[in-house]
Amino acid sequence: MATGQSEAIVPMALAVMSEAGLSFGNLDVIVATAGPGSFTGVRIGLAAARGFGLAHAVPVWGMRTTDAIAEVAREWLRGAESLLVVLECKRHELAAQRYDASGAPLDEPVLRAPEALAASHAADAVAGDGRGRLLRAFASAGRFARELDGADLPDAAALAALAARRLGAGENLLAPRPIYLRAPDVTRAEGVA
Amino acid sequence: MVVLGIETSCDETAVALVDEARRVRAEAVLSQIADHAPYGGVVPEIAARAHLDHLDGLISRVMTQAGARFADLDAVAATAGPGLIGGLIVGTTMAKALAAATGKRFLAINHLEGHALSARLGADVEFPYLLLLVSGGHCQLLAVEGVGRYVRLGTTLDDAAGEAFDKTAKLLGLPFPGGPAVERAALGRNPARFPLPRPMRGRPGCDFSFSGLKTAVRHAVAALPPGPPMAADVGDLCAAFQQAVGDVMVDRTANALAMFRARHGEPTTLVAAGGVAANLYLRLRLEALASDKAVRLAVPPQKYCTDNGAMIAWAGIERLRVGLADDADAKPRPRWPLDPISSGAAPSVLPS
Repeated sequence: MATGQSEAIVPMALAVMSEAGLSFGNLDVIVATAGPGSFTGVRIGLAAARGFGLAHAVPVWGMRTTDAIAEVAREWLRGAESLLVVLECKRHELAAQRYDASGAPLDEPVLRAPEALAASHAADAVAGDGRGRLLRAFASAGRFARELDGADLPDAAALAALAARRLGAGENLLAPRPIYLRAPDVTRAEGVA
Repeated sequence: MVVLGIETSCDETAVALVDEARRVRAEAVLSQIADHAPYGGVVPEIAARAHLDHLDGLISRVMTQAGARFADLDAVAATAGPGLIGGLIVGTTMAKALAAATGKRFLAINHLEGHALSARLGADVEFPYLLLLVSGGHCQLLAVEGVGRYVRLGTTLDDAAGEAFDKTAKLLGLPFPGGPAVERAALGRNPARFPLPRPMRGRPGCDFSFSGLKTAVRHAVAALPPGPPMAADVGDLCAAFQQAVGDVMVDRTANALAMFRARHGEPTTLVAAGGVAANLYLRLRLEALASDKAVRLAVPPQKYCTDNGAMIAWAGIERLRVGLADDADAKPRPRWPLDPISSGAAPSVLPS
């Protein structure tokens, strides 16, 4: 969704709850993607999740966007293939994170130019909406990875399922705060200490 | 009637719980001034990040302080514009989510309407009245006819009054925000040493312009001896600047009172709101004008002049009382003139 997320999110959540025949007070946990991704989009999801959670003291957790994509893409890995999830972040750099064949993260997400990722982030398969630009950089660097094209963006059902599995296994999820990977673009004012 | 108000349009995260009896049951404001100070102004991305970090915590704190539960609320009101879009998105989204999950109504409040009605939170002010709204982002004279009924009589052609204060402070090496710093520096200083222009004074209508004044301050600073300016020079220049703003404000407001009279009959109350209305020198100048014109001056307490949650909650109560509310898909609006009537091309008609 290019625009309109802040208008859509609450009616959409209400429609889902109504279809499920549940009220927000029935929920055990609310989970939202915390990034990496569009700063504004991440804030919209987290603000809504934190607002829903606040209403009935339901715990709210964050989850990496990359984890949600890996949760879907891992199904298509062959044998012991490793997975690289790359996401567009509205700038030249891509957000990237690697996973093993079980979908467990191998490192922390980074924000890096495609050319730099081609040097630093070898993997057998690539998923996410940034994969086109990454694979071109891979090709220029003489590197190859298999393209997985069914998991470009995080899926809310996969996100909820992954959260349930991790919480069920006794793991903690992340705080419901954005993963920006980048400081705000600002310069200090002249003459201001 | 009890409404939770949320304000995130600029660099203050503010929440308040207000009831129909005009009681502010609890309130909290988290200023981000320290976060923005190194940059000499408000950085939108820093502001948006801080609003999300703190908003739900402030809401919980206010509810706890008031001893209230969400079930006690009639509605959740949030500033939906005008302002910095990143903060507006955080405030409205969380407010809509909270309202939806608790089955309460949601109100998308125009920040300017919050200021416009804030005088009625603290005192008995009847419609219609003349409003001078002067803040970091706005400088307008409006006829307030009733809830949701505003006629803009005049506005700034360039900078807002508060912006002029901020820029003057920056030129003189004073800290951000500039309003309080300039006011402090001007105290007891000589306003006559530096001659500064009074833009728009004597002109028909009640529009403002501050860019010429800012340029004159820059020239005056450039003419000072090299090196950091001496405290006496800074003080005199601040006093001269403040007096120039005061002269202009009195002149424009006097014209606006005449315009108001032509439209609504004899005005009884002049309301001054917005952060710049917290300036005591300017308040004295407005007091003198009000007394001269035989109208009453109403200025909200200082904490309700600057951005706050109580005025948003109160605007929510005023709107609910006349049957207004908004949907869960309400859109934040970075630009949102209070008066659609005079936001078009037609200039205000005025007696000269």
